Amino acid sequence: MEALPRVLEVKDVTKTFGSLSVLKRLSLSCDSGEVVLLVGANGAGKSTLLRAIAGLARPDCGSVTRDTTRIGFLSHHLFLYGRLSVRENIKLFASVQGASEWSDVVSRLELSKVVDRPLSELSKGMQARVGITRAFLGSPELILLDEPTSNLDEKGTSLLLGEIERRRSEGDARSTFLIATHDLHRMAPIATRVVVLADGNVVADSGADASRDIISRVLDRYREVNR
Amino acid sequence: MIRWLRTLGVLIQKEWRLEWRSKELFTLLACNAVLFSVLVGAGVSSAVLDVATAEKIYPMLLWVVFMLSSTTSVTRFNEQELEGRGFEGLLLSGVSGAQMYLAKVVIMTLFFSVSFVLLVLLLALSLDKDVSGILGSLCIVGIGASSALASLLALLAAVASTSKLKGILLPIISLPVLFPVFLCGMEMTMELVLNGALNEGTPWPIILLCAETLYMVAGINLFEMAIKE
Repeated sequence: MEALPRVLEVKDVTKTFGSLSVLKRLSLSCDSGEVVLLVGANGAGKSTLLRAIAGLARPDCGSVTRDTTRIGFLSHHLFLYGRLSVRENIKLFASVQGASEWSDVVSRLELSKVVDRPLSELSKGMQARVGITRAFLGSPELILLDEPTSNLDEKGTSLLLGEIERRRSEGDARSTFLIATHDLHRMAPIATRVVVLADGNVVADSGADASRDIISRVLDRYREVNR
Repeated sequence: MIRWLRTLGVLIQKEWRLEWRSKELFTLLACNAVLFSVLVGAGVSSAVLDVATAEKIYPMLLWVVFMLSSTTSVTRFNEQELEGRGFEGLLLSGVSGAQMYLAKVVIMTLFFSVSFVLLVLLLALSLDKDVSGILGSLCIVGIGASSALASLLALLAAVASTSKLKGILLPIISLPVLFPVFLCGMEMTMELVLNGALNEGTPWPIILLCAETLYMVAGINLFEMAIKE
């Protein structure tokens, strides 16, 4: 079987905040098209790892090598401007990325009715949908989602899952996903791999293209440890 | 290069929209200008200074008030970037720190220039001084100084933005570094007030340009580092 191109290589990354070591010589690599679930208790280092991969947090040592500059990132912060309307926000990010197609994503995520309202006046769930739209602009090859379902209702979650599925099945332009989540019930079915983090390091990895059975076993093990 | 400039244009538009919606910077600049002018006017009037003395101290008062009002007004300029951390979204989208910095400098320069003109008129009114003959030249000096001021304050506002003490930190760290702008502005205004025009061979415009270049080079190179985690 032909090996998929590697899009991400994290090698021995350490990140500390003051005296707190959040990532401890963590290593991880991802191939094109993978949907990797990052699971771990609060404080395990998931968000910091995603920020380091995105290039928003500088590791103290170690290296992060990305084979692409097209990165989409949905974080706890929306990376948007509350005083601008949804349209102005999306147009701003589409313009600077040189992405011409944004209206399709807006309509698929059912934001057309609120497109002229200021972002700050929307509910948290709708704001999250705008954040997802921004993260998916410009067909990024590497998409990092940090707790993407935390503010979403059932409808929002199914729209997000539909968008992920759509991007996975887009022929050659397959995106790679790294999803940090506690919502295993809804996110596990789309995963091709599960990585468990604890205390700033990888403690379990199902491996690429893992079967449902292996993924379930890794997740069961994770649940047992965190019970 | 065209793409780079187009992105810069988009960012300037964004800064303008954000400021237009909140009007924070302009409101603070205008209020400070009125407040300081009235206070200075009342102070000079109660000191019973003669017209000649009031005329001599006009340049100094103008620039002290302008510097104070500008540095105290920009403390919230980066707040909207921090609220939703929009700047991180821009960095992820391939926008450079230099582009973000220059967009802020352009908008700050615009508002500082308007506030300078307002201040010139208000202070002239409160000191009963006629500036109609030198208003055009004063505006040019004001725009030059505003641009130098913006070049430094855009960087320092970003440096101070993550501090809980930003309200007092920004004026404290910026005023000493802004001294060349203050000195150049004051000296050029003095020449305008006394002679009606700048003297030939006066060094102050060159010094102002050098200071601005220095601030801008620092801002272009350091802004991204200042806002990144």
